[in-house]
Amino acid sequence: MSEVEAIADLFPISDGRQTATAKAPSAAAAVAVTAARTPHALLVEAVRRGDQIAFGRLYELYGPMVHGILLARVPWIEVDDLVQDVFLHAFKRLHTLRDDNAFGGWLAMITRNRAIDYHRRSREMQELSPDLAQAASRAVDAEASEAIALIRNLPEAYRETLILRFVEGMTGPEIAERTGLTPASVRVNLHRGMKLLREKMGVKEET
Amino acid sequence: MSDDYLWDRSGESDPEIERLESVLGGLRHQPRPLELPVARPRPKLFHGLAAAAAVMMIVAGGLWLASRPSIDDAENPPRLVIARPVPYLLSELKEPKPSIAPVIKGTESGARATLAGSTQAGVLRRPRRTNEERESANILRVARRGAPSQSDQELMREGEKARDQLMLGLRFASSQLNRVQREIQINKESGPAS
Repeated sequence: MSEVEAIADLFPISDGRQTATAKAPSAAAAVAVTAARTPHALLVEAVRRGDQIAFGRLYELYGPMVHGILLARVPWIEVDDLVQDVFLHAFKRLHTLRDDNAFGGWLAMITRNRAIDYHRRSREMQELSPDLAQAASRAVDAEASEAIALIRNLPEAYRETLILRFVEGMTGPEIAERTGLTPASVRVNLHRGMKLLREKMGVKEET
Repeated sequence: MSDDYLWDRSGESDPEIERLESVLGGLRHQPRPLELPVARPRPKLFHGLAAAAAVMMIVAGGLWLASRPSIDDAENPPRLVIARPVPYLLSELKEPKPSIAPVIKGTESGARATLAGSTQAGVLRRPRRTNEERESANILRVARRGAPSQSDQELMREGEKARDQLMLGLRFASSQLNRVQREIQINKESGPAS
């Protein structure tokens, strides 16, 4: 809620609503449309007007989601650079976004496409040298690396949601809000994904 | 077991989930400074040039249209003037103009009946005209339309001037547009500034 409050401070719409309602019905209707927008959508609107600070705020808010989606798909060592790529691409292509309220889903789609593009390109490039691959795996804790590997073996919808939950520390409602998925879908993905993960972890411990 | 802790960390905590959170939390997103491209001013010069070129085209086009001699001008009845002596043109004026209607072999004697033999069976073609015939027809068409009077010639000269100005303006606008496009391309290739 602190984020929402902070953005509400940046874009005070409640005072304006009262004033506009008293002035004219048409202005009240316009404010009602504005009020229907989420605080994040107001940030998107500010970015459209050329406010780069607002985009920085969106980066803070949606960075974990982009990071999590990428981590579910590409090697850990590549994720940070790809996060930058995704946000740069989003910044350049923001004019193609029709509904500012759908920024999260739009950004998630860009991120998934970027991951697909990474794999397509990496097939064309040489394999990572063994030394570099070892260095990258050493940089990550062994237990974390094993857990990530287990999650990555899950179906796509489950691994993305679980990584957002465990790695990025987002709650179910936050995941739903950022990705544009329905809360029910997120809840189901979390529940079923965790069930599968427990099974895999149990099998691993037994062996 | 309740999934509330998994959903929003409410309710009874699950030790396995807590362990996963602590283990995987180390991989959490560490935001780096975002490197956005420096906001460059939009190429206003490009828009200005495009508008100038459009205005120039409209003005020059209007001038050219206004300076064209009117065919339906009642004060200038059509006159037959042959611009240069063309022998085959004179012969064409004297002789009746041959019909170019399709001819079926055997229905007409003389040279007109020969083309049907060169066509495929059942297909009738319009006879092909030679270059000389085509040129003479063009000259005749101009002559029938009427030769320009003195004032018409002046208007035509003005029209040509206007056309030359239009072409010059278009060339200038084109070169400017190319220059702006090159600059934009160079800016794009230079990439985002840190």
